[in-house]
Amino acid sequence: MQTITRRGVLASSVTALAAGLVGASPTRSRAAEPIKLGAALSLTGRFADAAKYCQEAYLLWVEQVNGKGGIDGRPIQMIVYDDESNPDTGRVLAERLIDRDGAIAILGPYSSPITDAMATAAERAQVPLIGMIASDASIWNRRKLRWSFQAFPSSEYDHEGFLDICRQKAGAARKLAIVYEETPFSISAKDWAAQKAKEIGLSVDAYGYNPGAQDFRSIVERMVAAGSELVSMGGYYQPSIALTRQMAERGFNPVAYHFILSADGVTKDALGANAEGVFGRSAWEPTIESPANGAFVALYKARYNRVPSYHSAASYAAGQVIEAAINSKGTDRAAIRDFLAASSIESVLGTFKVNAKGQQEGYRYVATQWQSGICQVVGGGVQRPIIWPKPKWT
Amino acid sequence: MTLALQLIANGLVVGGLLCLVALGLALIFGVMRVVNFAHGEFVTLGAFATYLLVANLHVSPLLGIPLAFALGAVAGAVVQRAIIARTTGRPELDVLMTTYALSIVALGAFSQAFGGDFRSYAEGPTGTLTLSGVTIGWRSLTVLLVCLALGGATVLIMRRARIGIALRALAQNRDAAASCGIDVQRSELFAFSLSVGLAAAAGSLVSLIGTVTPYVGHEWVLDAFVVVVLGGMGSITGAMIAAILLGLVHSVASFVLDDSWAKIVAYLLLYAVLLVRPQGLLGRADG
Amino acid sequence: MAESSARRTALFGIVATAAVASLCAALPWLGVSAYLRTLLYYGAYYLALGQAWNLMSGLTGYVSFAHGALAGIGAYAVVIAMNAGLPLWLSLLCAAAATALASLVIGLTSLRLRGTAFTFATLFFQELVLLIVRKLPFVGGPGGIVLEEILPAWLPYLLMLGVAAGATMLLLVIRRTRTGLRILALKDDEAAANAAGINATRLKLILFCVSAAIAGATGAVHGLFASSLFPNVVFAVDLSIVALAVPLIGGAGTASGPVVGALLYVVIREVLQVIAPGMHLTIVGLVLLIVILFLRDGVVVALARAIRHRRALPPALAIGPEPR
Repeated sequence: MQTITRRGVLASSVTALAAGLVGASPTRSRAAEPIKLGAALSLTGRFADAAKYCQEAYLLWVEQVNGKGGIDGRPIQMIVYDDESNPDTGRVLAERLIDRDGAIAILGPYSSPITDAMATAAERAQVPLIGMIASDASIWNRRKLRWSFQAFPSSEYDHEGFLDICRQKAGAARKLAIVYEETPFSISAKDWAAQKAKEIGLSVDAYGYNPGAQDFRSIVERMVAAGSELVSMGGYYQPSIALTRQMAERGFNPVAYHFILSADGVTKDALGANAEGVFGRSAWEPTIESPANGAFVALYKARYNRVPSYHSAASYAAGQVIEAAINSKGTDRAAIRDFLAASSIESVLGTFKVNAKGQQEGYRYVATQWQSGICQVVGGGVQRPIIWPKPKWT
Repeated sequence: MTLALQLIANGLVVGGLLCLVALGLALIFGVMRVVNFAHGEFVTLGAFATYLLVANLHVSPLLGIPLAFALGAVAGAVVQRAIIARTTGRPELDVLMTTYALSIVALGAFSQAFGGDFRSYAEGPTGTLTLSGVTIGWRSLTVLLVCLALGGATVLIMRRARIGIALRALAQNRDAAASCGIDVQRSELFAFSLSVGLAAAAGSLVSLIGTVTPYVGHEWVLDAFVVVVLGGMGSITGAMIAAILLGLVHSVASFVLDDSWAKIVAYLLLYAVLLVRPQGLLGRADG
Repeated sequence: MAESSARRTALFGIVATAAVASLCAALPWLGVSAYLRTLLYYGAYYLALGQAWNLMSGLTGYVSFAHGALAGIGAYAVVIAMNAGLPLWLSLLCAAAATALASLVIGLTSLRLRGTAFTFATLFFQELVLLIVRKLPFVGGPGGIVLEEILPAWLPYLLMLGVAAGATMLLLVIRRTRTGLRILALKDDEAAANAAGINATRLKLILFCVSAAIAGATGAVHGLFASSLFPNVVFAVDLSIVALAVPLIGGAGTASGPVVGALLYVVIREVLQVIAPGMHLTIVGLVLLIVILFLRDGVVVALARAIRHRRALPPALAIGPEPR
């Protein structure tokens, strides 16, 4: 350590005073003090599928920011804990991050109940929370949440892309079946879709199933009996694959078939040739053309030797959003909160913009379709021919 | 009429797999009075083993069934010797919590080893079979046939093989069986290995028609317990009948009402049976 | 002589419980962080739940898997009552009463069942309640229900300390009353107890209802803390497992067992979360396994045994003056 000289002390007190007035932190010791951000990830437990990709993206973002000297000369420090896919754990985690670790904001957890639990803690402690992969908008409908923001396209629009395509292509096919899980996000998506479907002249049958169900044969039977022509499945991944297989086994061939998460995961491995023509919806695809996107994909590939998934993109985007807030408003929690509530922020997911309730209005989904073994973006103004009707199951 | 037949066929597929998962549970409870909360994790073991086999060697998943069975049997033997054997004579809660703790450890291990990613494969039987207006996929039919085969083989072992008779003697009266010269420790080892082998084989079939995750077996356990309790704790035939019955009830109820109501109906049916026959359908009317 | 000594132990236990609870209650105002307060809250929560379970299953040996569901019923009841405008104390009372009533359903149908069958009946009760609550429209369906305002955290904190302390004191007292003796006789040999004139069924039922009321009160306070309830979370089987793991680790049937169990559970999980993220669930499972296999009857009893060994006292003379 340097010896302290009278001149040194005078100099650093002047700069400290100036720093206090201006809000920057140019002194050597203040510059090293990191800006702490907290993150909750489902590393273990039922929702542990994509936490790894989220973690990678956070790390990449932190490295990017710190490589440029941090924000206002202060490096970012990301503290990640495991919420065990358990809301009670999430609550303690929030307190640990806020109180013990001094995080100025929290980048939110994966599932709805945990987001809800941590949002409650955030409201009590008055700490901004960015629900970086929270697609369930109903959390913001249930209660007034001032400090939490949805940073992912809302699940209400899960069926939007598919219905749009149906409007253009359906022709004589008028019977729509919506399969939904009896959980808030899926129910609200179903309600929105049923309304929209009626507007475009389709008749709607909705079939709900119990979360965790593996057997959809009765639902398939009911669709067969009703003569459904268009089928849209708004549930989680495993049930979607089960439903698809059971439809194929029953020999039930709808004119068009959509399951919201078909762009995810192992669809090609699981369904093989049967994936052909299946629609999906995506919050983000690496092929989406935008300069920010291109840079992100290149960085990610260079770092991890892999094309990023939407989980990574969402995490990176959350980082960009909070970065914009801190850049603009410093580390005051209330100021960050106001900034997030009112601003349009560009990120790899698109334009972040929330409504008065805190729900995401800027980010939207695009429709996708499996074509010749590749998941292609077919919505959002992209001019790509659509396979219609769906080829018969093999 | 075709609809009814179709619903029955659907119910049999679900019931068949449920039967195979529950068979092992009924077996160890009957013989050792052990409630194995970790049963689901052995199902997961079989599922992952088959997935890895298919994904790496690109062979038919049907080869995974005997592989999973063998793997499960070995795992079961190890677990029985190392852990379960230590709990003989302890109160039921202790044994139950031991297996529960095991299940947590196993779940943690699977999550660490494989992460939460979904895994699946398309190899295996494809296409459908239509018979008298009823359509059933070859994959599901394979599952049903294998379940029946393994279930039948287990019943045969219990009825005819010496070890099976020994196990039934143990189930009836432990001390009397021991004094008849039956090697209790070896019999229990066999029972546990067989039970876990069956669970792993069931896991192999689960991987054929579902997606594989560290939690995949865990999700079957509660339903398997319903089957075992309904059938009569410890009765293998009871478990088989209960499984088929529940599969059929679920198929019809979820067609007429909906999926959640079907589950409610199943539980109410269980409670109704327990009210009238606390020992279950084929259980023994003692303590 | 032994009886007054036992009464003294009970009195000492009650005073100690009250003192510790008061100290914990004062801590937030003595400058302790919100994080630590939250940890203490969860300690009290698991303790209260554990004692509720202990009162029924620890004493009678009838293992219940329903206590998580019972707590959930309490949570729903308190939120419904509060949203309907009832004052806090009345809402809590309603929650305990509603839960006790619900427990009658299990009690009347399942207490005839022996051992493991009873345990499974309670396990399935959990599932059934979840399914039914998700179907009932007036309790919010799958979306659950919310408390109209988010209460400040110190309120449920104090309430939970109260419930936990009260339940512990109840356990301390009940073992030393005549009712307590009857219950212990039940656990030893139910048939003999019946023959001796103890109405086993009625006793079990009463115990179960009281146990459920406590679980309901616990769940209600937690409902106030969480302020937003999802049925899939509130009625998950995990809470029932905690309700029995905590007493089991510490020592079922004793009043101090759940205290030790709850403390260990919260501390171990917290430490592991920080130092071994990702591995901690596995390690918790291993710890549980080791405790069950090697520390028979729980930590408290094992410790007591070890201490008695050190003092070289035969257990029967443990109460009373040391021989020279």
